[in-house]
Amino acid sequence: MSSAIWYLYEIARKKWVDRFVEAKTEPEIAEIPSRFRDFPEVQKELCISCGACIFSCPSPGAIKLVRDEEEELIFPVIDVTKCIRCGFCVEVCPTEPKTLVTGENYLIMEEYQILPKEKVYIADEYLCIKCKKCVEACNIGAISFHNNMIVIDQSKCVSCGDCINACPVKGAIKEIFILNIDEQKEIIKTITKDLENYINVEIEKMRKEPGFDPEKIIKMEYPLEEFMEMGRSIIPNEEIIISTLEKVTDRLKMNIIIWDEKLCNNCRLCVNECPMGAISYDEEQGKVRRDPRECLRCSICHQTCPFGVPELYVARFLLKDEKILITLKPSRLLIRD
Amino acid sequence: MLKDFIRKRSIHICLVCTGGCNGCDIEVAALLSQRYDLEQYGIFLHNNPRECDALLVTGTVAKQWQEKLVEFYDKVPEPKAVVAIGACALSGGIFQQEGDKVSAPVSDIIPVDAEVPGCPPRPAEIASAVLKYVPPALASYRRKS
Amino acid sequence: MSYIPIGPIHPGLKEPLRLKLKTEGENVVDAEVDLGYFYRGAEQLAKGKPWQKVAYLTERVCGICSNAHPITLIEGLEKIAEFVPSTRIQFLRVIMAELNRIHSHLLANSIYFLAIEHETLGIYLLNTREKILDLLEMISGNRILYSWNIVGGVRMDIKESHLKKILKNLDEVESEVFRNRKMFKTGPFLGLRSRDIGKMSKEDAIGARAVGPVARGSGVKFDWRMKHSTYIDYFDFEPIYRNEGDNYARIMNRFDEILQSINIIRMAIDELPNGPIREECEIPPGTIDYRYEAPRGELAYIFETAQYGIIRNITIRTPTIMNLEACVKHMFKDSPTIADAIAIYQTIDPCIACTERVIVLNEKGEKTEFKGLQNVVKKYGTSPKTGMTSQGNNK
Ligand code: SF4
Repeated sequence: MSSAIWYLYEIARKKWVDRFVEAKTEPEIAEIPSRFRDFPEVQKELCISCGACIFSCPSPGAIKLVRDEEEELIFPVIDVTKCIRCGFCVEVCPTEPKTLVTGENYLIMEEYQILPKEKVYIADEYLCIKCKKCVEACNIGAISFHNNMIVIDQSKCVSCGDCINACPVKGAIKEIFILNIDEQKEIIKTITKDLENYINVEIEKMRKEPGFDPEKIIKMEYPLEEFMEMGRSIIPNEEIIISTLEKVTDRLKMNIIIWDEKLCNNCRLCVNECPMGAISYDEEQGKVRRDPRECLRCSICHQTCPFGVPELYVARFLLKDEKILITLKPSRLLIRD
Repeated sequence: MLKDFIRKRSIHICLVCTGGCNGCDIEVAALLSQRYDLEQYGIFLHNNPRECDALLVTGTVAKQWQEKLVEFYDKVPEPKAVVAIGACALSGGIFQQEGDKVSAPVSDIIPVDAEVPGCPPRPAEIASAVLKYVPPALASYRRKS
Repeated sequence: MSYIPIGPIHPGLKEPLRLKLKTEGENVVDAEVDLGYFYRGAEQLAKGKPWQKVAYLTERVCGICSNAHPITLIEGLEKIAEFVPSTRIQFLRVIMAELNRIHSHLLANSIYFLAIEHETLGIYLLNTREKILDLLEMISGNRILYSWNIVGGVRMDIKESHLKKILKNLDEVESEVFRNRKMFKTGPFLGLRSRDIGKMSKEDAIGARAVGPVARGSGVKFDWRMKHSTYIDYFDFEPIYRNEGDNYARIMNRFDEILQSINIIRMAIDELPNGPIREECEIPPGTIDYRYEAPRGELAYIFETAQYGIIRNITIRTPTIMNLEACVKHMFKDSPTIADAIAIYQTIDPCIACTERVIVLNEKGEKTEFKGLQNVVKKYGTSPKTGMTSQGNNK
């Protein structure tokens, strides 16, 4: 009802006559402004297949790099059903002129790249042999050599991984996944705990066997299948788990202490020596006890004990074909007699 | 014959949003304005499934909608057509990631006749898609039966 | 006494939501809100992602305040980095934010007029809004989701030619808003449907923690722009408020804020300084609680960053959560008819896409009904000591 009255009011104002005469389609319906971000266009020849657009895309799976066998080209293909038309891929594309074009976003050429990364590449000074192969391999010019050092400019790097493929030394350029550092820490924690338990159990078994020589180097294998299953529940990506494990096993050196209670004569020399108070004397049962959770593996007890109750091994590891190879060396520290 | 003729010239559409960001919904609402004037093409927009010819579905299908959308689709009298609007409805767009709580795309749940990509699509794109795909979809349904 | 369920899809509601009205004859006595038709879990997705991706995600929390969400995140990140953008960047951000506010308020008012079946005014306002959307598209490249703000500045500059178009369109919008405002102010039937309906007193507004134009319509003189450094330094900003507290006050408040925003944009364009539009800014680890005035009211982002600009944890509190509470608790009591209930509901400018921040699941992963805190009590034995409402809790 009220709207009818307003129509009457409008008619009375006579303005509608002008509007009726002048009526035409407004240009804004058909005209699209120059900044409008449509689905990006791809210029196949310019692509250097660095993958920056894939890292940048907030909607997963909207961009894929495709290899064309005939033309021998690798170029991005955009899935229009998934693309959200944000134009970020266009902004981060490092080629000049840009491979992807949309609106006016392709004009953005900032010194300071804000590409979101999953991996960071870091050159290891000690391992680097200064062959400068990575400087040549980098398509973007993010790696430079000055002051006798390889420097990776993080604000230019697009995490394509070309440098790692070019590098002749294993581990000289390190690839670090930065999205789930906390989870990686947890993986490292569990694997070290698992390895220690495993070694303890195995050594106990071996000691019971006749002909056991405590001076000999011991070798064993830790199968990874079980661990991988658990690891997948922490990080669903197997690639990250393996690379974390690799980094850990390359560096890890573990002190293992085996506590042989049978040899103990309850002299209680070690109780006061332990810096953590992990060793205690149980008055009721008249026995010396060690709490492995508190133990630092500092080997002081091993050096103190006159009977050789705590035995020290140093373990080293190598990751090979789904297995961790373990080498156990009896410690060279002298045992006080 | 007569029914077909009339149906082509007056399409009633019902807008359903099943989660998403609202962007597509307000672009559909913008079609009502004088500039686009949806009604000059014979399209009438409302929210009643029982008297519409075509459903416009926007948004990722949120948990509550999984069964409700099917019920909703069944309420629409035949012949019917479904237009999915926006990246959300087509593939889940930005919300379809690891650890998501949505069950996009819409086409997994109900049959979809036309798709309008974009996040959000411009109103002109939506209007042209409705005009282009809905009448043939309605007509072909009739031929089938 | 009977219950009338409305929704989830209903001609009166633009977004899916279920309202259960408890009625006595025609009078609404009480109401219940059932949410959950819009839940996407944006916070869950944002965890452990770099901020660049989270900015796009927050933009899609709500398509109407799609400038307020990313800018809250981004200014928060800049606060963590202790980075102060150049004056030009600040001015450009103000222009964009105010344009977005105008568009949002126009849409809100227009939907109210459609809800009370005054289509003429509703569609006039929709048409006025198109002019603002043109400007937004011209500046940023999209009508709804701008993707324009980034840490350290803005993506694209506003050029001289753009400024002219902005001023021209703003003049047109201003004259149209003046005319529509007069229609609303003097129209007898409009007044009948709006005045003295859905009243909320100042005490109730404060008690229900209402924010934005809803609170300002009830006489609460507060606006987060009063505490924003740019507005303090360069624009002498005074919030607009009214004392009536009814539908009329809320709608009028929005009209006045549109005019105020137009003036702010004009002021910003007049004094637009030169300078860089993008600067370098690295984000260190840190935590922050940052608030910003979205078109609908206070928007709070609480988040934690890790190294390399990765978002560890994020909590979003949106204005509609509180406004919905105020509407259901206080405004519906005053509703003479059920038709008015819908109109009252629309005056708070509800944005359900914003509001859906939590979903309650049982052990099997199915949605369950959430009845206050009873569920929690059953599970944990004792009642948790939180004063939060069911919608306010972040899962
Ligand atoms: S497609 Fe884009 S604009 Fe449309 S609802 Fe989804 S996120 Fe929003």
